[in-house]
Amino acid sequence: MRSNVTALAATLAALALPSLSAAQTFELFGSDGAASRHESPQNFAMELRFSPWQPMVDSEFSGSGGGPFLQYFGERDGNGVRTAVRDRLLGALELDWQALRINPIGSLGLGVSVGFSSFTANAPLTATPSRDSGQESALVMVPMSAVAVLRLDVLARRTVIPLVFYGKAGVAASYWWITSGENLARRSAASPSAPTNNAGDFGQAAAGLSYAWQFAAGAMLRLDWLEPRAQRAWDLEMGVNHSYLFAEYMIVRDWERPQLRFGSNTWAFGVAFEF
Amino acid sequence: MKFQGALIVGLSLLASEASAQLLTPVRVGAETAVDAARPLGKLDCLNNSVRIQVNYTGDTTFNDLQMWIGTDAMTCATATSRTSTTAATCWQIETSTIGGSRSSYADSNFQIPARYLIDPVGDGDCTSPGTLRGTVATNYLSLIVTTSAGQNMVGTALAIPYDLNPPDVPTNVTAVPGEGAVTVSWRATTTTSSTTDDSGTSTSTTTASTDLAGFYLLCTPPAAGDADAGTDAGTVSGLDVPDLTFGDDAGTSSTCPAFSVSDAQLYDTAFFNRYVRGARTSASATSATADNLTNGVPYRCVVVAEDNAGNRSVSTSSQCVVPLPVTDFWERYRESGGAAQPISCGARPGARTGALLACISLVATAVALVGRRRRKP
Repeated sequence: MRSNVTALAATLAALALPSLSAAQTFELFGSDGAASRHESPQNFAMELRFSPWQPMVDSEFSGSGGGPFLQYFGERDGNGVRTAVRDRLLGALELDWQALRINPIGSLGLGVSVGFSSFTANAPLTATPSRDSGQESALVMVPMSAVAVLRLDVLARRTVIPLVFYGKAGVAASYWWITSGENLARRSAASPSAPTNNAGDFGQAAAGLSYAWQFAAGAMLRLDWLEPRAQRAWDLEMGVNHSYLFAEYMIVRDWERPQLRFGSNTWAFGVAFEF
Repeated sequence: MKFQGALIVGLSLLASEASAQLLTPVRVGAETAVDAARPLGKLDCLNNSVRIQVNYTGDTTFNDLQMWIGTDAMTCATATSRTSTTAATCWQIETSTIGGSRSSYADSNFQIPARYLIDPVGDGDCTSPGTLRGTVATNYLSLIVTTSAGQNMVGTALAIPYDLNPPDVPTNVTAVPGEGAVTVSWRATTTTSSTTDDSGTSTSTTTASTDLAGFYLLCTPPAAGDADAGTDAGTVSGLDVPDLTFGDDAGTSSTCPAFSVSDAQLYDTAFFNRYVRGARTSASATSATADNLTNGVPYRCVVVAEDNAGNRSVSTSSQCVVPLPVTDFWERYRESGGAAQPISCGARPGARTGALLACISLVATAVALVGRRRRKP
């Protein structure tokens, strides 16, 4: 039930986005006195994000030797033992509606994001698991999130310090699928036996949805001071008020439910634009 | 304005009369997949016809249209050159070899076997140009028409470029088994050139081949359903499964099917189609997978490189490999006790509402992002 409610909320939020394009930012505690008269209205932020990514799939499993994620995607040492999984790149795009301007300290808004990451390995032969075949199997993930975003930009707007601090909290979901060769993986009666609900997924494509809580905190370096004139021209022509480089620490905590876990603690880096 | 229109029509008619019987042959493709723009290759020379369309103006009376092929654009223009001897530079394409109607200019689509355009001496093996004038050259198709003034070349000769050089042979071919599949890898084909400077020092440079269209994978035994499927496969008994390759264990090499492809078989469409697995790869590919194979049956494959003119070269065969069941990550996850159950974005029985809503939200998000318009003040 909880997943249905969350999904419904995400759906409504997404469906509302087109109307947000016409939305304005509401202001709290008077008007934004720091904004230049020549500056265009600022309602949104967009982030292009990159993270080293490694989902904690194996947190579902206990015991020594690591779980199936390590045993499948881990790097082999000189003795052929899989020791660690190398992080993969997670690329994502986030769009925030800076719905409420809290003068003079910052803004509170709603952000939605979608990303992509994948892990690929050569599938081992069933009869001799220590030997890899020429066929690849991949775990592909499309993490999405809906978060509340608080950006504290008072320093950047009122002082010479070009820093904006921010925090995010919300829900995340990841659509995932697993491939076998060129096709989606499917279990059959010939597959290795599963200890629970063995035949329950025979014939079904290996694709699913997992949920998590997501928290993040970070800092953004406003780049306007590098080329103030260029930024002003960009605002005039494109409506982009400010551009940033940012670094963020992100915590994704899986929900306690039967699901493929995709949670991770990681850094994110990227560029952001307010417009 | 009416006067201007009448003037233009009148001038056009005059121009048409003035250029009566001006014929220009145009290569518009072939009966069997010959792109009109690319050079003809050995595959065309042995198998294909080229379609020629004659664009004409004026009189549609047909006067003994002949087609001649020459070594340059004007060779066939002079009557003394049109001798068709082996030492000549202009040869007639026999009327009997030209397909299509030649009853009038109004019906001017002709099919000419490509070998007569490339190898007009006519031995048909598509190798004579190599000794006659090189494996990469251009011939010219001229149209000769008999009029009251005698036999004359009309219009402009059509350039027929050809390239009979095969691409470099793929090397280092290796194969590894998958589930009902074999993945074959090879080294990218390269061209090595060497230069020697004034001091006598020789420098060798290796560059990637540019005249390359892609690679085919041919494997034996041929696909199931073929009349000969399985008859030339080796026996499975005696397989040393852990090593998976024949030939590296004593006593098993005789069970693996041999596979060598001759130059003639490379261009034998029936043979090629029987053994080819999948479509042609890109030119930059260094591996390909043959799938829909039978687990437990030994296979051996070769890699065929094809260039932009359709010339082919074949590698030596891979080692023998036996497709066997593999464990994908989903099977490993579930085998380890993973509790996740699959769901789908498709609206099918068993798909949960939450998943469907989330799928809709993903699509809606994408639509919203694309459809959003920034409003300027």
